[in-house]
Amino acid sequence: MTRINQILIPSVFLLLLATIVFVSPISIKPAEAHITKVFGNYLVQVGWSNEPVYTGLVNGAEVTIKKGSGDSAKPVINALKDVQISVKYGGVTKPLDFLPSSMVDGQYNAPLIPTRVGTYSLVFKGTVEGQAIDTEIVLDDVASVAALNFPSSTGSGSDNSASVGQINSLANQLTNDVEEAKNNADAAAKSVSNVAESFQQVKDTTDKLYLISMTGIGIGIAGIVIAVISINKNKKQN
Amino acid sequence: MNSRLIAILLAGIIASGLIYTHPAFAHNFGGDESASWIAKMTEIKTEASIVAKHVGDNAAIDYYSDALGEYWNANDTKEMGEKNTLLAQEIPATINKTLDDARQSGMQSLVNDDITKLSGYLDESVPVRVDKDKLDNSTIQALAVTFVLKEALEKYGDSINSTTNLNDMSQMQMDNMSGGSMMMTSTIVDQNKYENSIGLASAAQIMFNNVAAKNPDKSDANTTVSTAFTKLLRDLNGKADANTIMTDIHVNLHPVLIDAYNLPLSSHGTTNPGSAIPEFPLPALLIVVSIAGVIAATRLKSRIGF
Repeated sequence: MTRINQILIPSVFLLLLATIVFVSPISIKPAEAHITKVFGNYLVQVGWSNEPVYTGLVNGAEVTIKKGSGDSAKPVINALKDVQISVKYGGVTKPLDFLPSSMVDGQYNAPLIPTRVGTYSLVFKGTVEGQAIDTEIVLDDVASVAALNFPSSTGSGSDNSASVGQINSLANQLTNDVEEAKNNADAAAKSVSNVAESFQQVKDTTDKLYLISMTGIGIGIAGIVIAVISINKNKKQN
Repeated sequence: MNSRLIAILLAGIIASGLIYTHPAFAHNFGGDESASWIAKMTEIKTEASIVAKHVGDNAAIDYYSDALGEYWNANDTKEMGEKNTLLAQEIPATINKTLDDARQSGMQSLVNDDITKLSGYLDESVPVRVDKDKLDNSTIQALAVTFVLKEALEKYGDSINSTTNLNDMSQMQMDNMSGGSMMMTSTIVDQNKYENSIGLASAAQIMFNNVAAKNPDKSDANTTVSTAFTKLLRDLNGKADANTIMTDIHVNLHPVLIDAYNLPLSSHGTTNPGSAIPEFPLPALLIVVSIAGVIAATRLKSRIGF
């Protein structure tokens, strides 16, 4: 009996342990990245377009508005027509221009590149189909993009100096390219400006010619009129 | 001496005719894709809202089906698809569903829901299709108003079977320019187009009111245009003759709108903001009148005693 127990108890223990080890990862749900808040009969869900969020990478704020509750909630079309939404970081806010999603009804996206690590939030002001929504909803924290870097950019030794040299060379080349592009852009802008000026000059000249020609015609006709009157007068005198 | 005086006076008339510029211009508005899109969305919403008044009336629904087909075609779906695939799919689908539901009697509630949904999609399409700076531009907004008005005029012309193109100012009768002529009543030969023209003109009026609200600095012009819109709607509802309607728009409304909102006008295929082609060569007209006066004066001088 004792022998059986000696085998059985560890086996059951191992079985339980194995179950925990193998089954638990499946059952653990990822942290809910999008936050849903209820306003009357409307659900407002907010989050980042791409999560997790890192600094310096293109992302976006995502807002989904539905009417109703649970799975039966229906998307609200043109939901943000009377709502102003701003993104807030610390004491700084910036109004966002949301556009409808290409994928889901009632979902709206505003592109955004978070530049600093920390907590961002969306500030809502307005109404959705008459339901007031004046609130601030905190988004998932933004992490540093350095967490994704590999190999580390803070290495040492000769590799580093070689890299610095390469970077300097690339930076110089990039600077030259930017300078050249800027010059080209300036030249193009100048050309466009010249063309516009030429058009204006042509228009002005045409207007002047019109005025001069009409004045000429008028004076000519006035001359004819005076001549006719004079001839008639002469005839009468004769 | 009298003849010399008359000659000088006539020369003065001619010269003043050359200097004088009349506010009436032929205004062919310059094209703008953003304004066209804003106008198009308003036009579709207007047509759809009128569909709701004709649920179960298949003849009317056929008419509005054609009208909506003109406003939203395969090219629009393609253009929208480049920006938002969901809207490219949903807008034509909702238009079709609205029309299908409207063909059946007793579906009023469903049609109303369809129209609300369609209006939402159409409104969503505007910021997708039109850049924000253009969307906030009062010139673009006012231009969109003129585009909707153009459609209203076209439909009204068709509804009274007018041989005149109401959008072509050169076809206006000049005696009506001063607005002093008596209004004649027209006979409506196409009730759907008539109703459609009033709907579009009303939509243009609402659009303008929104533009005016955003531009309080142009209050004088806004008041004038508002008054012109009120008269236009009154004349449309009173089934006024083509010339009266043209006067309302081309004389009372457009010139003020052009001036206040710096609307671009098309000239010889190009778009020149602020420029305009004189519609009536008034200087030439004054010259002709002057010559006629001289001839009359010289012929009748003995009778009139100089």
